[in-house]
Amino acid sequence: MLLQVEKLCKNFGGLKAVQNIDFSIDSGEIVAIIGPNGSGKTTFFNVISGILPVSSGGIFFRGQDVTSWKAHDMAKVGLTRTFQNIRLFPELSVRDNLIIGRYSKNSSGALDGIFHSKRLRLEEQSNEQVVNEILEFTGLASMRNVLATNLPYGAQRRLEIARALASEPSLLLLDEPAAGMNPKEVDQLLALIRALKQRGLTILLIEHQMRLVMGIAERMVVFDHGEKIAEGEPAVIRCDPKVIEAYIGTEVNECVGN
Amino acid sequence: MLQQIINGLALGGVYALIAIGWTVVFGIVGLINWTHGEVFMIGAFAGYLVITTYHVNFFVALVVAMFFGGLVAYLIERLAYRPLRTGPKLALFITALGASIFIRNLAAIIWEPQSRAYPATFEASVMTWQLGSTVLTINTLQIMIFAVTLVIMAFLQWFITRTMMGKAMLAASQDLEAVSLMGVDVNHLITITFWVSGMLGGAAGVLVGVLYAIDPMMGAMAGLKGWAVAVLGGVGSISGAMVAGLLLGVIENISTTFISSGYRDAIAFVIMIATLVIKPTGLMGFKFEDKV
Amino acid sequence: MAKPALQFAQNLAHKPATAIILIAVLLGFTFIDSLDLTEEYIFGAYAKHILFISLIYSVVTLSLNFVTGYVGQTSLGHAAFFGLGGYVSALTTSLLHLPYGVAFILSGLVAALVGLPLGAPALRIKGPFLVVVTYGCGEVFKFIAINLDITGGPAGLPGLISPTLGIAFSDIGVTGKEAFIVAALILALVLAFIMYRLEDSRVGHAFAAIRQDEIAAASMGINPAYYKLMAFVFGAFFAGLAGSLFAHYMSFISPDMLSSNESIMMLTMVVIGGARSIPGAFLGAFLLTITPEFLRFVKDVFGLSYDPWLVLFGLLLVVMMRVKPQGLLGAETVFRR
Repeated sequence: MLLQVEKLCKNFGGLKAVQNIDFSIDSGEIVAIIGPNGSGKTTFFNVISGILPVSSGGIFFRGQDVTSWKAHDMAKVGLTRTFQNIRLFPELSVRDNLIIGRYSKNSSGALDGIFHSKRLRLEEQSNEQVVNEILEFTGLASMRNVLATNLPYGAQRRLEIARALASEPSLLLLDEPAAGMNPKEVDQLLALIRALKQRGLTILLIEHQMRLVMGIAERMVVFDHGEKIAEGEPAVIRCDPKVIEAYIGTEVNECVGN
Repeated sequence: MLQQIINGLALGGVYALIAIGWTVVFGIVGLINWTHGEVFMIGAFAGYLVITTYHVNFFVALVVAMFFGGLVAYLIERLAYRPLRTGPKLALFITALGASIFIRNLAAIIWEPQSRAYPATFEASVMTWQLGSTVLTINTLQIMIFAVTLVIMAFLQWFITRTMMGKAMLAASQDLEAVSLMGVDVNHLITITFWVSGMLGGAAGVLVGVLYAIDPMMGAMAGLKGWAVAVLGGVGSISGAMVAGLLLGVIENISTTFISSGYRDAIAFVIMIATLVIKPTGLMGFKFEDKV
Repeated sequence: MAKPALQFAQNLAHKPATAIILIAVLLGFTFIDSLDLTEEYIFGAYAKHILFISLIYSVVTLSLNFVTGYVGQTSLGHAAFFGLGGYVSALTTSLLHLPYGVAFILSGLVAALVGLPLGAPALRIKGPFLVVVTYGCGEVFKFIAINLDITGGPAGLPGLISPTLGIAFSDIGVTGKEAFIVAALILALVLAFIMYRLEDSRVGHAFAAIRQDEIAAASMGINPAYYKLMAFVFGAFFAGLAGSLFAHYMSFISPDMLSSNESIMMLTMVVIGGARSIPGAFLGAFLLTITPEFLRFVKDVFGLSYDPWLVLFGLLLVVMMRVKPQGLLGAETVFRR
């Protein structure tokens, strides 16, 4: 198992945002977490990526107990994420955002910087190569020197994914990557995710609209009120009565019709 | 010991007034209003000037000082802060620093830098009590200052909880954006906030003026102690500031008997730093958190 | 009209040739009197004094840039490290009778060591709260210096040694202080070089990331706590070194050196010059050192009964933030390579 979560709980004061979640994802899988607004999906992401501390339960990455690890520790072992409300480095160019994405793959320190050491120069060379390759792959090459804050919305979302890719993650967490996108941008995004799948990347993504992930996710997990209410293949999930209840009539008309 | 507590209460009440002036502005605008100490100083001087030139009584001076305190706070907001409200926070803070330096030194030019004392506005008598083996002395001035502080606070409490504008202010300190979406005119709200803050600062200036000497630089230390009190009470919390103000006044007075008096003014800062490190929400504050 | 001129000045300020010419001018300025060209001294002790003070504040402004510029933490307590360096160095030479070189290094190390626990609150406390905490720390330092016997109380410590280091030419005023001008210049240049190199290294990238979005930085593997502490420690170290030079140049130290007014002045030097701009730090420091001296001269000429500097300074800050909040030479962050 790449990532395993056991009986995970997260409380904010009296509010139980995430309750008793058991979950696991294996290398090469694409799994989608769906659920209505406020069902604890993003909180679940924030906890497993180390941004929020766990209230109880355990998180294991490649069998190693990482329950109490902070976000920067998680990034170092290969868990990288994007955010629901885009968190780029706004005053940096597209290319420089990716350079920061390379951070966890490099190791040079202050002295390397001051003396411009061989280690730093080697890292710079390989960073440049990887960054160029990712810019091509994500279709951002033409915007290389544009400041992140000046990018169109869809490109900002793609840049966030590109930045995460720059760290060569073993598990990529995408938090509502299609939020706010127009249909054309959504299509581009889906193509990008499929291409990532072909590269063998493991992806866990959150999506609010079930329809969007039907085509790409191999497995779906449904959250409601902080609990996992269903898990399984998309086709099965779509007709699960509990899921239909959670979504009351919004996206499940096809099933009801059958 | 009891004597020190009594001495501390009058000063503590004034600290609380200054702190509330800080806290309402921070709660709503999110700015460390560095000029608040200067508003306090203006209040002290306004009171001093009307008393010495028109020989009015203390209460008239208090009202005049509150008016000028409010006016200056309003003008600072209107001229210095408002144009930058959506700008970077550091720029806003540097503006506050600049305005504070400007006002302080302008006052030193206009009113001369030396310190002066209020003329006696009424007969202050000293009462003594025998309690067991200890003798307590209480100055009627202290009692009056404490009483005035309580009246102002009671009025403020009424304003915040009973009037529409006060309620809007309270709500805005939690979420200014939401309040503006509900149709409250934000500029109007912020104007009122600065008036309230300035009036409290001006009142505190007069109250300190009758107790101690005043000078154009007096705002620096008093303003910062007010901020320390606001932090101790929990930033944004008015009742917290009241409690913390009294607490600091008393602690300062007690500490002079137990620790060297040379450290008296440092105590506020030590308490403030300790509060922020140990319990950033203060005694009664709520949490300001980054949204993920 | 003003805009192209400013642009031109900004471009000029970022050219290496400008720096080299300026350095040559400064050195010439310092040593021209030693050539005995004329009967009169061309640059008197007063001008050299101002030059030294400007250079010291350049070092301090650069060092504060680590904290305020790079990781974006507003500090109003930087004078504490400056003063601490001065006191450490003063006590090392006068009490322990160690050579000045040892005292100099020690002053930086102690300041850095103290910067570590003082930087720690910065990990938990943000924005406006950090401002008052750093301010409070500075004030507490001042109260300690005023109240301790070993630091000489409010009067401070007089009679510190001012080694000449073999560079002493002019014999006017307090003699043999050229060594300090050269030392301050070298320190400023070394620091500027370090910052220039760091900016575009992995460390500099981490600083930039933390400044712009701490949570995003952390999720890229950057440990914000580590780099914030690093910034505080670097800043404190160089401020301590500058403090040592300053105290021994003056051969006197007092609690005024740690006052909050000093800290405020240091922060405004960073802001007016432009945060993260190396030429900006020099500009801010020179401008805010020379202007008050000039105004003192104006005051004497016009027979004013007050010193107009502080009032104008306050006004300048307000106007500056309105017109050019990023500072005179402040620019966007762009990695060079």
